[in-house]
Amino acid sequence: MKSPFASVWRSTARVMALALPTLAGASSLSWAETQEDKFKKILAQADSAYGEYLAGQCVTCHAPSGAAQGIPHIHGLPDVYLVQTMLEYKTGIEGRTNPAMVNIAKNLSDEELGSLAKYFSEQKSTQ
Amino acid sequence: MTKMTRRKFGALLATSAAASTLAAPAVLSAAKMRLVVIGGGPGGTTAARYVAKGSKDVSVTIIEPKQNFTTCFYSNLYLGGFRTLASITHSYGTLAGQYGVNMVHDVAVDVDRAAKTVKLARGADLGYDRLVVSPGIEMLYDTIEGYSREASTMMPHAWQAGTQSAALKTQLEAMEDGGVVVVAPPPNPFRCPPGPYERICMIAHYLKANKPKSKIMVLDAKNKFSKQALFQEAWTNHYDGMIEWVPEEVSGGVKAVKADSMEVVMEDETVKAAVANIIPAQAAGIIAKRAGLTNDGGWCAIDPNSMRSKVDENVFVIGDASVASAMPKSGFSANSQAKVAANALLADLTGSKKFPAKFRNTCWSLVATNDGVKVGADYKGGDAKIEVTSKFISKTGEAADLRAQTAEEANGWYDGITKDMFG
Repeated sequence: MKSPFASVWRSTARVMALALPTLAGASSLSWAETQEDKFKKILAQADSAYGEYLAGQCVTCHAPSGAAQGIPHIHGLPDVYLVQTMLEYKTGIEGRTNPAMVNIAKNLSDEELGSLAKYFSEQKSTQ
Repeated sequence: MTKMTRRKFGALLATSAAASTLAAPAVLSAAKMRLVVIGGGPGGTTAARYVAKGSKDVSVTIIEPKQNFTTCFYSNLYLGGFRTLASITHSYGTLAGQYGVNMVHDVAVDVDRAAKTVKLARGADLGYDRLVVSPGIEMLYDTIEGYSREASTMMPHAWQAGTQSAALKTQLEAMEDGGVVVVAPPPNPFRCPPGPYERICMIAHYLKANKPKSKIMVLDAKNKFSKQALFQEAWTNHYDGMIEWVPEEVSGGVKAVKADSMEVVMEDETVKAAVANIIPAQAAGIIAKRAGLTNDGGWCAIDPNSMRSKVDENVFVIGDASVASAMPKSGFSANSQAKVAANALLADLTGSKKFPAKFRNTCWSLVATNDGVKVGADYKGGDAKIEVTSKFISKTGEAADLRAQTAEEANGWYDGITKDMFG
């Protein structure tokens, strides 16, 4: 499996290029740290029982195993990656345009997002 | 522990604000609480699996006459030649083997809500502490003169998957090229609002490849329908000249059928059909009515925050049979509602935490090879009914690669929801 972290950082760079063209002077490292802090703050609000409950509405499409036809597996992915991806759907960046996911992301509170990310990161992918 | 005290305990849990703090497992060690689920479709299987997964202290029983379940969703793809019937037919083996769900292959014929028992056609009465009623739909055959269960073998509705789907497909395969296929979509509310129109696409797909001189005449009981612009775009793009949609305001709808002569009768016209797919008006599965759970319209009112029946606090109604307001009657909705109900059931039966009701639905439709469209929404439990939080729909004129991706996504969903139902 490809490292999900690689894609976290690839897409972080993409967000920076899109969203921060005027901050050319700012240190990219400190900006990344700010993002990391934001994700951790969201994850700190996680409630495991609530995450498990909310995840029920995700696994209708995101199967824990199988061929993953057209819908990616999300079980066992890193929590930071999951938070970042959902925030990308929420704010809307290139490549994160699937209307079903945009619609879901915009309704999630930080507590809900953190709870879901934590829950899925702790699940085993059985594929 | 006697039955009486267990019942009292159940009632206490249902009504007590302090339910979540009760030390339920200690009490339950004497005898397991009993959840009985009527119906082994998307609602019933999901509710059973989530409750069984959530607590070892609840015995879970599903009453379902069928040994295997053919999903209504994707049965249109079988008609179009995209799926086999076997590929959309599932076993209850994992639910029984891995989750310990007790499968009772029998028919629930009545419910004594005072005694909290379900009467079966063959077996002994089943007692319950909580009951889930997820029976799907009943066909109101007598809303069309001449239509009946018997007539539906000649003029299949194919709105309950399995032998009806196979009958419709066999008839399509047997018809001569150049014939008229009549599709008669039902009045609202009914199971799977985009379903009849996806079906028209799938029948057209089959006819275009195999019987290109044939036509489809759609005699609708309505004047508008779900994803209308998207379906009408598909009919023009893929099946131009093959499909005539006749709204109710033009034909008055189907008034009668004559199955022996394959005639479909409207107010001023009668059509001779090679194949007639007559989908009648619907109501909640008959057991819901026998149990006294239905309203005047034939559907079951529920509490939007739990799917608990408005009639009986020990009974939950999920899926097509329920009045879910903005949520369409779909397998996806039933599966979603089942998880909200399971959370409330576990709170009742074990004292676990009840979370806010959040629901979701997405309906994908395949309109041609590699051409899929979708509509969906998120919902929440409101004060009086289930409310839309936000929604989305595919657009007309979308690029072919996006449509192909949507079609592929539906296959992923099919895999996901059937795993979520059957384990």
